[in-house]
Amino acid sequence: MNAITNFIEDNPENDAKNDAKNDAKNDAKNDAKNDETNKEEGHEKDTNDNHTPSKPANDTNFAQHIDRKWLDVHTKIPRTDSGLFIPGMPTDYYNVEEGLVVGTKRPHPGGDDGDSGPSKAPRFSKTQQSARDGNNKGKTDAFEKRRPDLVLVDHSVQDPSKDGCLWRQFAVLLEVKRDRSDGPNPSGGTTLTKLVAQLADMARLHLAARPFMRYSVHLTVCGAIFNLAIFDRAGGVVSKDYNINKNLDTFIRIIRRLGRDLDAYDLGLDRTVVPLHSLGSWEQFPEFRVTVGGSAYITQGLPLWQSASLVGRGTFVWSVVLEGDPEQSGKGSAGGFILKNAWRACGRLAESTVYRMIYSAPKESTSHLTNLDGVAQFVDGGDIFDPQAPNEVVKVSSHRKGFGSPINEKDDPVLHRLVLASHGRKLNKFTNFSRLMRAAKKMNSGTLSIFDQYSPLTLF
Amino acid sequence: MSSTTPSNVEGPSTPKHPRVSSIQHDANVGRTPSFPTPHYVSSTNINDAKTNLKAILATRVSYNDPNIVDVLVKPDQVSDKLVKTIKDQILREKATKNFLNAVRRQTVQLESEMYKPLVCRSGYLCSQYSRFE
Repeated sequence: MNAITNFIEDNPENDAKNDAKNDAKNDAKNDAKNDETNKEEGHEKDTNDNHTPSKPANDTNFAQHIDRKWLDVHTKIPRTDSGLFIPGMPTDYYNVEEGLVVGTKRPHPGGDDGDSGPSKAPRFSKTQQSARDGNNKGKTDAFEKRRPDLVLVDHSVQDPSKDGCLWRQFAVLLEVKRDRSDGPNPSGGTTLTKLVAQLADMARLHLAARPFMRYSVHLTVCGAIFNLAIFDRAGGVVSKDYNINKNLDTFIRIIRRLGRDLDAYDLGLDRTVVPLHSLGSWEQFPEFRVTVGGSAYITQGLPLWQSASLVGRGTFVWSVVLEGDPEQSGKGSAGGFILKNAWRACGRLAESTVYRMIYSAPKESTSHLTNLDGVAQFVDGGDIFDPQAPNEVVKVSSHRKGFGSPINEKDDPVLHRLVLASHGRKLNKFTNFSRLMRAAKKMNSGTLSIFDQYSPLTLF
Repeated sequence: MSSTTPSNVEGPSTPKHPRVSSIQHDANVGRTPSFPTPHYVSSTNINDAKTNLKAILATRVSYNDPNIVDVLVKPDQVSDKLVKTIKDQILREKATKNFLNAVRRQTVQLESEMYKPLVCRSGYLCSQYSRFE
């Protein structure tokens, strides 16, 4: 499968590229992108053509740099950046994969005969073995297979090639099953299939590891059937079944579009953010330019926290600096700002509105509250407007126009951002105990104020 | 200790509470909790995540969608000529042709029995597999 996907992207590309340019108007745009990509991919293709490696273009929007490759990762658990904790994801290949024998069926303590299901990586560690359900049927819980079979990864020319890949480098995930009966569409009704549960679990990890994603794109190939699926903060959509023999043209077109034509925005990245580093970089966790209100902020390093759930708010919390003015940016100072990026339930009051109400209330109306010391200092925030439809806020339904079942208006998450000036501090950064206790007291006072007022029964 | 009520004692005037067999958590019905919860714990606990995901997704996935490929991927934007070129080159390779035939007949081999170039290991450059060497 990997050979086919690579073949579609690599081999006929150069032969037919010039012809394709002349065929259709749409292709002109795509080929322009591909020309740029080809330049960047020079080091990979230098055995076949005379392209020389070149530096990325000067523009800083790396979301539009299309430089991807397919990788077979079904024998390895992809990892995430060191320091970024996401449950279910290792940060170090070699601790997890120690003793792993590539390409063989995994042995089961109870003894598998090796005939059940597609081959996956063997599990040797205690953690991995405990994932088994303990019976002798050779089955595993779908949730434990936290590795796709093939992935289309963003590739950085500037970074030296490394073994494997990171979850945040995934652009598209592909799952292969041997039988068409394992496909994502249920044979009857709307029962959640095992494969969809597996895809959804990988999607939540993908959305947690690759920041600012609106949805995660998946391909499945089950026997002769292939499907496209997306998962977002409101659920998922699975395409109808396509037959790889009858619809080989469609398969080729999809692989070609995913690998060569569609940019990161088309594959789910939030169109209101701009990555300032290659999404395929190994060394540098990408920084993002994020607009909130009239100001732009730059994320710093890894997110401070990210949600690992699929459906819901999908909160990311970042340390950010204000773009431009070095004096006000907070860069280098202990402060900076906190950016909270989350999908809020549309029927609920926006968090920014709550902050505005608190801070705009006249003093006498808040005098009965103990104090506001424990409440974060609000800087800016609000719902995010769609750059493609400036009068509409970004909702899940924004990227589902034209497909999927209609989303209930009352259950259509809205993208919301907040910038706060109050900056927390890690516990190990406190230099003395009294400061730590003062911080704890402030946190507690803020909480007490709210609960005392509105939910006394909750506390007592 | 007997649980029966003596005949000379009046029974309780209020009806018994129905037995609560299960508590519907917010996550089970697909809504955000309306009160503070240790959501960090619940979202990082793998067992909770599994249960929640299955329960929530059951009603939130739409299947057999006929339009998603056209809307999201726009496959028609790839020229027919390019597709034909790729298709010809793929089908020219005997190994690939056999593979597609095996898919058609549902006799796909196990990975260990496959023709080697069809089995790619992670960590290699794509170009190494693009020629069916």
